[in-house]
Amino acid sequence: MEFKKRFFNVCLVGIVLAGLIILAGPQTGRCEAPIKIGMIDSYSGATSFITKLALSGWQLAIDEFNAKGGLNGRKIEIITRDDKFKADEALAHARELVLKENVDFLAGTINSSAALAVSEFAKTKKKIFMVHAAYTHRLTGELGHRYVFRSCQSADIVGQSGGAFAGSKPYKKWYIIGDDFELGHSLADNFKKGLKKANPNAVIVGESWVKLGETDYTPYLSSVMAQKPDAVFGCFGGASHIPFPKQAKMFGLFDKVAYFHYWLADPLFAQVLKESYPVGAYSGLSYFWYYPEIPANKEFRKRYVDYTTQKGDPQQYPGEGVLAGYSGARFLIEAMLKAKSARTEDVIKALEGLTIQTASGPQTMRAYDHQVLAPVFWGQIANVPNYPFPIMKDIYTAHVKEITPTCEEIVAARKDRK
Amino acid sequence: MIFSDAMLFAQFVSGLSRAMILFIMASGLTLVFGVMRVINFAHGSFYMMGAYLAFTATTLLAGSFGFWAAFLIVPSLTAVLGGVVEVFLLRRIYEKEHLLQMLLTFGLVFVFSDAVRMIWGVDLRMVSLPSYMAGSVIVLGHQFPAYHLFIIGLGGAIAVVMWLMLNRTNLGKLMRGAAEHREMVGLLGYPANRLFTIVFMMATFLGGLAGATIAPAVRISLGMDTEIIAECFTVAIIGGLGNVWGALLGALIAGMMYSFGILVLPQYAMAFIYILGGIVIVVRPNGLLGKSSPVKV
Repeated sequence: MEFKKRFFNVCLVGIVLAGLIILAGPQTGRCEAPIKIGMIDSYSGATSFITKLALSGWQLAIDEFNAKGGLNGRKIEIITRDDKFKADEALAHARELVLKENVDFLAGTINSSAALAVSEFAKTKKKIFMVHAAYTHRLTGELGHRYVFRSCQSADIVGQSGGAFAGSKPYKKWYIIGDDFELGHSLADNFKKGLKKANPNAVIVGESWVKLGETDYTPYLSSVMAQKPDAVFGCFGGASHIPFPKQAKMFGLFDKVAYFHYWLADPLFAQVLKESYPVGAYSGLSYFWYYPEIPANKEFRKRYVDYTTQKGDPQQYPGEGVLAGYSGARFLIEAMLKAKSARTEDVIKALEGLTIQTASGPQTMRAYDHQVLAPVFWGQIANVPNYPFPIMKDIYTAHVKEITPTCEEIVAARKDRK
Repeated sequence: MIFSDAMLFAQFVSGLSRAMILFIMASGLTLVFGVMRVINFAHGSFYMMGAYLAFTATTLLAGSFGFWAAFLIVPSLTAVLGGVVEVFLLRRIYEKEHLLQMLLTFGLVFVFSDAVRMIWGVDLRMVSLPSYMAGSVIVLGHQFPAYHLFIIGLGGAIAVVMWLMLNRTNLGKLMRGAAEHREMVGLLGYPANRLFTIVFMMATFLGGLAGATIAPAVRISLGMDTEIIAECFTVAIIGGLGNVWGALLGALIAGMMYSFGILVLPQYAMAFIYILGGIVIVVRPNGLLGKSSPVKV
């Protein structure tokens, strides 16, 4: 009896084990190599506080995808590299990621020049490069190609929508001040186009271009103030969003002139600049955690807050960077799921014309130039009761389809280059 | 292009505030070179350290009091750090060739940069001004940041204190003596080591002070050390390396050239000072105020 019972037990254990192995077998067999995304961005230096947030957007989307089982069991792994805000470093990392790490996709970067450099490399290596924070219009415009996609706005959309919004206000004498690099000029040129269209009477009375990396705007500000313009358009990127408003506030610029500055509306700057935050200035952004008040937005914010809290770095107020990162990841994921493949050519086909639902509304990856079409909002910074810091009021939604360059314009721009 | 008087005045005051930060920085650099014959590349690191320490100090000691306390505490801390560097590192290589000294101070730049990264991380750091300093005041009918006027005053005060110290105190006489003949200090029965420690601490005090002063106006970031050091060297060289009044003159020239330069050729405003630096090196290698041979303090 005793022996029989023991024999039975051994058999039972054996059967259970065998069953487990059989069950696990195909699983482990199916669990192929992960899908690798090589993420190049400026994780040290003056813009790291922005790139870190964009990365958390990517990670949120990827964790959600992995938790649902990935692509037939293949999960996404993200490999980050720090380009230190330098184009040559970004390119070196892109090379290493593609040639040594064998990544399936490239993604990045906040620096427009770095994005252009990596984009050229991605083209020669036939790798998809998903851009989530570089805004130069040339990236998907004249220098666009089959392998580069962008999940954030482009400077021509931002600049022209800003120009259209600014043109609806009664200001005549305009002054432009900005960072003397790719993004700053790209914003200014498009702003002028939009402004002229909306208000033919507007004149630009002066421009100042500040060397990149310069944090002392004093002499520029004194010369702007001395010109006595009605309004100023600030075209700054990355790290300059902080010191410029701070010093402009010291000069009393915001009391004297109307000030327009895309990105300043980001909750990040309201929280950092505190009393230097220019209430009354005009700003724009493509995503607010409080607008539009749609269920998808509330739900996204909740997921984001939960996710960052769980990661031990609680973030309450997602901004544009977070959503652009999240959308970048979601575009790749949705395209892979649609194509049932992670192969470059299949994913490109699936990406072109793909529409995803996001917290700011539907976003479409335009088939021709691979530029996302998503809403842009402009408004005025104001103290609104029950909000922890100043937010935007009287929000105007730009008509993206009217502002985004048409495919014909892009065809022409690309032809001009050749 | 015609510039109004108001505009020229605005640029003049702007240039002056920029010049004062450069002067506070460059005077420290030049003091160390004049007395110790050490080219201190790490001077910018004390500046960066000063800015970060000002962030911590104002965070810990909130409010207006914390802000002013930071002005006393922070430079003292960088001076202590400077003292440690002098006693434990620099002192060991005075007898060695110049190249070694340069390598050491250059190496310190990286050490401090990584130390700052480890202590404060890469996140954004800001120092807020007390509300009465954050606005602007009207000077001769022109709006001007109150804080920049404070910087100008501070720079002037430092210049006066420096003059009194160099001309009216024994320490100042020793320093000037050391600049002429280093051996003389020892012959006079004063330990040269102690003098060097004091001078290096003074210089790092000034570096920290410049950093703490600029902190509320700018964005504090890694890399601000190297951003300023090149300009600082140019200023010191134009005035005459080793000469405190040269540093003041150089800083004024640099500030004004920048501030007026952007009215004429904004893209090249920054280049003017380096071009002038190059010309001075060729035409007057000892700087505008430098004497032909021994370096003056």
